[in-house]
This record gives sequence, structure tokens and C-alpha cells, in this order.
Amino acid sequence: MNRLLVPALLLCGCLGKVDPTVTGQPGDPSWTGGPDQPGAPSTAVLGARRLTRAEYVQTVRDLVDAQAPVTVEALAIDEGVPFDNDITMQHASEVLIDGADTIAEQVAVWAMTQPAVKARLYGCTPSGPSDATCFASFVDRMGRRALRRPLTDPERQAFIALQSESIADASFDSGAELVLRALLSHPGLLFRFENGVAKSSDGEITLSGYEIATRLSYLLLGSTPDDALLDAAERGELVGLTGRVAAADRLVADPKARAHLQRFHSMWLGYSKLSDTDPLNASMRKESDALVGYALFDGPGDYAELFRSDKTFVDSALAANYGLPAPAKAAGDWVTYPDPQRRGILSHGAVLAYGAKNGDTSPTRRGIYVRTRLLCQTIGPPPPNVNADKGPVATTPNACKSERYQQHAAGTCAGCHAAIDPIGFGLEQFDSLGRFRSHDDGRPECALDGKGEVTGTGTFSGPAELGALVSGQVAFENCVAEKLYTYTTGRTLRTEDRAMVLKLGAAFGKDGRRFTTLVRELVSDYTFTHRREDQ
Amino acid sequence: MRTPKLGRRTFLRGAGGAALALPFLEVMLDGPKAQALATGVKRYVVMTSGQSAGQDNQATNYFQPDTVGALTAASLKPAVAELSDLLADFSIVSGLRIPSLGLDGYTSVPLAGKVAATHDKTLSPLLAGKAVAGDSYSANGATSDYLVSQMLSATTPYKQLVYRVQLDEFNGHYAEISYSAADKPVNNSLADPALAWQALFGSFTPPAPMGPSGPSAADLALMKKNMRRRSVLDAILKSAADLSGRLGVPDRQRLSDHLDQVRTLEQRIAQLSTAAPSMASTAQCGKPAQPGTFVKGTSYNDEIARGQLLVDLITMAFACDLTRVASLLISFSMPMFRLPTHAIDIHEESHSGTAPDFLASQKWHVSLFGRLLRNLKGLSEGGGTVLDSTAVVFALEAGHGRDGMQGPSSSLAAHSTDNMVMLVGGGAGGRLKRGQHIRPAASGTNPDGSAKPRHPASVFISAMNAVGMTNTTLGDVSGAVAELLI
Repeated sequence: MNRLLVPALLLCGCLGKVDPTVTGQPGDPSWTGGPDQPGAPSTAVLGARRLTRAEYVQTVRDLVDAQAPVTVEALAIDEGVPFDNDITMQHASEVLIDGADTIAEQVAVWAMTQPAVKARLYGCTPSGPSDATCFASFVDRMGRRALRRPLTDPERQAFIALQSESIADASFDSGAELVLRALLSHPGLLFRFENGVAKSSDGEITLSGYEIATRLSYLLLGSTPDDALLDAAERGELVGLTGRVAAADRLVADPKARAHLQRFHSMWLGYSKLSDTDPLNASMRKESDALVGYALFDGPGDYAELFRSDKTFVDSALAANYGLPAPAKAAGDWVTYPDPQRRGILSHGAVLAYGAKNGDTSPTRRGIYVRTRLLCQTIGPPPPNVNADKGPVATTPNACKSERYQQHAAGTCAGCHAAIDPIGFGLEQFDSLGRFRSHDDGRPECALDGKGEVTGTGTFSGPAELGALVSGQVAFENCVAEKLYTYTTGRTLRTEDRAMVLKLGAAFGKDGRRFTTLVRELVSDYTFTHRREDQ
Repeated sequence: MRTPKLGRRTFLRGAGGAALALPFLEVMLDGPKAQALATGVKRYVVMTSGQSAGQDNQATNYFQPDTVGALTAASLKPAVAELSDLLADFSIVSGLRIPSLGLDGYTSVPLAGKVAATHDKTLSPLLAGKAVAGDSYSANGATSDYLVSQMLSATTPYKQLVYRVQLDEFNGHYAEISYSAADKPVNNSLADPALAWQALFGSFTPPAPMGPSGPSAADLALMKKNMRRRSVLDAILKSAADLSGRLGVPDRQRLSDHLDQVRTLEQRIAQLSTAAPSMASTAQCGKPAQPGTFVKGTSYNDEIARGQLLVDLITMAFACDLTRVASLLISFSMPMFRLPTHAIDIHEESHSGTAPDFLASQKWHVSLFGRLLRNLKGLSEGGGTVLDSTAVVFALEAGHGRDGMQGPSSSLAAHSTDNMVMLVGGGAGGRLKRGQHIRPAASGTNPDGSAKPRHPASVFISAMNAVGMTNTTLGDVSGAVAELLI
């Protein structure tokens, strides 16, 4: 929620930006920041982040077994603003500790009943409850995987002491279960501490190879580093550019990266919060996930495919909802749009549902969505005397929706709404479920012309033209970079982070907007292996 | 019960080489007993509803009786009609107002005020007596339940329970109503009764669980489970000490905050497993049946059953003196979930829902207040009931007034904080006036010279005073509502 660095300008000049001393937006002619002269990126100020609920669950499964029983409800929900990993939202909480311990206990107890899992975790065959060699080797092996670095000697001793339980219960497993349990809810696992290997005189910390492995893995997989990555860290390969980029390439090719980056997009583009009141919503999420997968991994490689693809992945129920031809497989398949107005993710119900209330669309909220989510602009809040909870109220009987919204074009409202509402009206022919309509719901006399405008950029009609208009902007390329970098840092970006965003955005744009280029640029930058302490 | 415990501890010392620290165990054995005898035990509960007292453009206020004075069954408005069996157990306070920028002559956000017509800025002034900071949704200071817990629950295993009924993940930032300081939630609220039960009773041995033949197999198993759990927490604390030494200052603080909570958990388990009954534990203390698991559904997540179970868990936690303070968020500031058979979500019902549905939602909120009062009334303590010693404050997020400022609907907008209503239940040891509709006199004047209605935080100050606090302020709000106090 920290938006302090983004001044919201009301009325005249409603769109704010990251740095108030810079005029215009990246990509605008008035932009004085200059994407070609971004300056050297500065090392980000970062504190120890706690794993999110999603990261923790995935981490436990990756550490123990994909089948491990994890009661996800035991952990508190992470607020998405839009990303779920914002450090400023993370508070110490006994419920969290209790929840992690509950999960750790369930999983550890379960693991002891699974001979194959147990054998894999131990890495040795205990000769008996007091087999100190095997116990210590298990502590070292599991400790390194769970805490993503070798244990220190005091840490080893604290865990090895738990073998007393093995001896008391005449069962090697008894103590080992407690070691596993302690590791799975250990703060060294729950938090991503980056102590580094060196600290410069002005406070810049150089990350260790293990810490770089952790950054890579949570960025690209949303989970803990696997053994291969930890081994690469141990060999010192991640400190150098070649090894780091090679490791990133390997992770991006992991199937888990697809699921994780789909999740990243669902948070960014808002549909992770799509309520599940309607059974169609699951189909819609699947549709948008599929297109993200296509744009990032399976398609021609240009990220703009996300906004201009002429095909979509629908099941038969969703196809019927949209009025599209039935897919070859009822459970879901790619279908080519017959209608040229539909292209890309802006045609998806998951995105078109954004901001809808009571089953109808909000042109204002859709406009804000495009400005803030796709162009990374900032819209100031409505003035205090406006009830933004409701749309404009009819002043004449039987007013059509567009007539009601004329109120926004008058007086002091116009300053902001002129930059917002016309975007939404260009999507009005698509309702909150993504169905085409030619007039207001239930009001044939209220025709919708579907004409819209992104003020200062161009006019359009419908999702296809809006997608092409937006994704062609430099501001959009920078916005993709900004969102990824926001997620990487786990906090709202600050003025000093702008150079890094512009560097990423420029590299992204130059190389045909390949997402993998963005990732490589990010992980190969000096800043990826350094940090500064927060206050 | 003590014999095996001591034996176990002795064993751990021997086997582990170094003594495994099991702090506070001895202290906790007899501490609460003495404390409870020394003072009359009081208890405190806050419940919140994200609804308003009336609907958009409707003149009907569903909470506020037509006249002040003694409550009668006939005087109860429909939202609270079901409380007619509790007429002598609660009071209604009405006519409260959180001041708003743009009204009453305020040209900036007033102290403990908000901008008009925004419900998401109401929680902080309502519960903490502070205007929000910037764009925040959270309380900008400590809330009354936290402050009270520091005094009332000094010796109980839990400082306070923090529960919420609404599961809905849609608007996570409204999910907390208990804060220890600005933007610092006391805890993550628990919405799952099974988890709440697990935390309260999973480690808990009710007083005198044993037959004459000594601890049962189940008792022994639970004791062993608790010991193992503490061994785990102990290993975590020991190993984290080394980690802490290697961290920079800000991260060390983060780890320290985390470890404080680990220690709290460890101490609580120790305390819960001693089986030494607090003198404040009532005869009805017992381990309730473990609720089943709730599965995440669609918009409606069994909130009706959740609410009842959470209220019952608060009741039993009081009965066993596991804590003396609880907060229960019934619905979020923007309650976007739908009750069964209702056409639209609760939030939207305030604006455009049918009046019967809106009223039914309000009645559901009030039913949990009623359930808690009846439960506590059923717990005998001394010559009276636990309800006699408790203060239960039920707050609505909005009143029914004039903040809308949108043309013809301005005087009757749903999210206005004018004419707010609160319910106050229980006697707080004879300090709270019950059975009354109170409309406290205005106090002071607004910038435009109009009389300034009392702030709802004043009702919290009154309830805090009733349970023994001596504070005269909550955040930026001063003064109790004298009419509510005896």
C-alpha cells in the first residue's frame, strides 16, 4: 500500500508517475527521463522477505514430496497489491507460526510413513536409533536443502540434539521427524535472509552464491532451489554471468516456471482475484493461463502475442458463452476467433470481468485498469466528496449508461475521467463475461457504438484494437519490466529503481519483446547479485 | 499428571546432554491461580459488522429504537428484534458520528475522522480513534481489544483471540480489526474453526481429566505430543539465535519479532499442558468437539456455521480461562460475499439490494452477538454468570446519514458515518448500564458551530473503563460515554 513515491495529481494532469521531477511518461514525446539514457541502475534496498503462502506450500512439496499433505488453509492469506509478496504487508504473526508448525508436523509425520520418501530424505540407511553418523548426515543434507545454504555449526548442534528423541523412543525416525519438522517451519526457511559474503564501506552487500540461487528460484519457479541449483551455487557458478544466465535458462525451461509465471500474470492482470461465484470463472482462468503460456513459451516469442493472438483456449461452456465455434475437445482446445474485434487477453472474460459490479461493466474501472496495469500510470483517487463506490446516478429518467457517464465529462470530474472513461467505453460492447452486446443490458434503445480512445495515444474499438494500441507503446514495454521488477523486489518501486526498470524495458523492446530476454537482462544485471539494507 | 511430566523433563535433560530449556513451566503452574483470586475477572469482546444501519435512500434505520430509555420488546427495531430475550443484558447507543472532511465545516480530515463516503477509511477511526494514514486501510493505532488484553489477559495462555467469520479472499486488506499499533495487526485473524480449535484445544488438557487411576492413554499421548512440539520450537529458537547474530539490524528486528511469536507459542503450549486449572476457569470448562474441516467454496463459505462455531470457541475459551479478550470480525469493511438464497453480496445489499435481504443480513450479524450473550449467560461464575463480568461491543461500520453528497440521495447514503449505532452487551462487573437505548448528548462544537455528536470510539473507551482500564482516550478521541456507565 505504500504509494508515497507516486504522487497522485488530481484534476489537471491526473496521471502521476514514478518520479515527480520527470515529465511525461516513458514513450511519450514529453518524457524527459529518456529511455536511452537511464543511468546506471542502482542496487535495490531490500529486506528479508517472508515466503508467501503459495511459495511456502510449493517449497514444502518440493522439499519433501509432491504428494505431501499440505493444509494450505493453515496459513494466512497474503494480500495481493497486486502481488502477494509485498514485504510491507508482512507482519510477525503467531497464527502464521502456528500454521507453519501445523503443516510441518503433518508433513513430517506423513513422510515417516512413506519408506521411499523417507529414504530419499535421509540419504543414508540408519543402523539403529543411535546411528549418529546417519543422523548428522541427514541433518546436513536436509538442512542445506531447507535453509538453502549449509548449516552453521551451532545450527547443526541444535538439530542433532533432537536425536535424543530417537534414542528415547528407540526409533531413528522419531528424532528425524522432529528435525524435518523444525526445518520446515524454521525462520531460515520462512524468510529469505540475504546476509551476503561482503559488505562495502557504503553498505552494499554482495550476495552469496546460495542467496543468488534462492533469488533465481523464487523469481522463476516460486519455490526453493533444487539440488542442482544449490550444487551450482556451491561450485561458485552463479556469481559469474555465464553460470547465472545458464541457470536461469534451465529454470525457465522447467514446467514449474510456466505455472509460476502464469500465476505472476494472474496477479498482475487481476484475475487471480476473480471471484469464483460463477462456474465459468474457472474456465476463464484456464483460458488466460493458456494464453500466457503461449505468449511466453509456445508461440513465436513476441510477448505482444498476449494482446494480439487470434486464437484462444476455451472449453465448450466458455466457447458457448462467448458465442465462439465449439472447440475440438469439449474439455478445452484452441479456437480461432471468427470476429476480428477479439484478440488477445483483453478479449478474455477473466480480464473483462475486472471492476464489474452487479453484473455490469464499469467503463471507469476498465479505463483505470488499462492505465495502471498495462501502462503503469498512476491515477489519483477521486475527490473526497465523491462516492466512487457507485457509478454516476441518472439525472433524467431512462438515461442510457453513456448519458449517465456524461456527468464525468463535466466540471472538475472531466480532468481525470477524460483520460479514463473513453478507454472503458471502447470495450463497452463486451460485457463482464466477455460476451458481445450492441446495446446496454436489457435496453435496446441504448445502442453502444464501441468507440474508444486512449487519450494522447489513439482511438480504437474493441479489445483487438486496444490490445494492438497498448502493446505497441514503449510505455507498455517499460510497464512489463516494471511489474516484473516490482515482483522481484517484493515491494513498491522507488524513484531510484527507475533506471533499472528502463534498462529492462529497453532490452525487452530491442529484442522483439521476448520475455526470456527480460529475465536474462534482469538476472545478469549487477543489481541481481547485490542489495542494500532497508531501514 | 505432574509425575510423568517431570519424568519426561528429567529425561530430556539427561539424554540431550545439555539441559533443554523449558522456560516458564514452573512459573505458570500456579501463577494464574493467585492472579484470579486477587481480582474480579473481567472479559472483553469486540465484534464488527461491515454493514450500515440502514440502506441507500431508505429512511428506515433497522437498529435504532424510536425513543431513548428502557428497552422493551416492542421498541426493538427489526435487525435486533431477536434479542428480545436479552432486554436486560445489553444497551443500544445511537446518534454517534465519525466526523468527515467536507461536512460540518471541516476543511481537512478531522482528528479521528475520515473523508466522506468512503467506507474503507472508517475502520481506523472507529476502532482506534485515529484517522487513517495516507492510503492505508488498516488501523492507525492500537485498538481497544489489544489495549485491554494487556491488562486482562496478562496471565492467560492467550492474550486474545483474533477471529473472523468472513472467509472471502477478495479483499484481504480488510481482514483485520485488532491492532497493537499503527498498521501492526495483533495477529492474522483465524477464519477456520478447525484451526482455531486446534490452537486452543489441540494442546489443552482440561482440568481434572484423569480418573482415579491416573492419566488415560489419550492424556499421555497428548502430553507426549506437546513435549515433542516444544522440542521442535526449542530447536528452532536455539538454531535461530545463531542466525540472528549474523543479520543486519533491520533483518534482525524482523527475525526477533518472529521469534517473539515462537516463544509465545512455546510458552502457551507449556501453560496449556500443565492442566492446572485457573481459578477463573468455570465448571463448564471442557474440551469441545473438534469442528470438521471447512472447504473453500464459492462466494459463500459456510459463514453461518463458521460464525456459530467461532462464537462457541470464544465462549469455551472464556469458560476455561484460556483468554479474557476476543475480537470477532463478522464481515469485512466491504463484505463481498453472499449469504445463501441472497441474490447479491452483503455490501451491495446496502446499496441496491432488496430490503428483506439487507435486513436478513443484518439479522445474521446480530444473531452472533445474541449467541455470544446467551452462551456467556449460560456460564455460571460466582453468584452470577460470565456475561455479568464481560463487556461485548458490537460495532457497525457505517451509520445511516448524510455523507453521500450525491444529489437527492445525499441524506440517506449507506456508507455514511453519521448516526452510527453500537450494541453493548454484558455487565462488566456491574459497571455497564444494560437494557437502555442511549443517545449520548453532543459534546463540543464543529467548525461550523453545529453541535458535535459523540464519536463511536467513545463507546469503546466506556467499555474499556468498565472492565477496569483507566484510559480517558482512544487514539485521538477523548472521554467515555457517561450515560453508559454505572
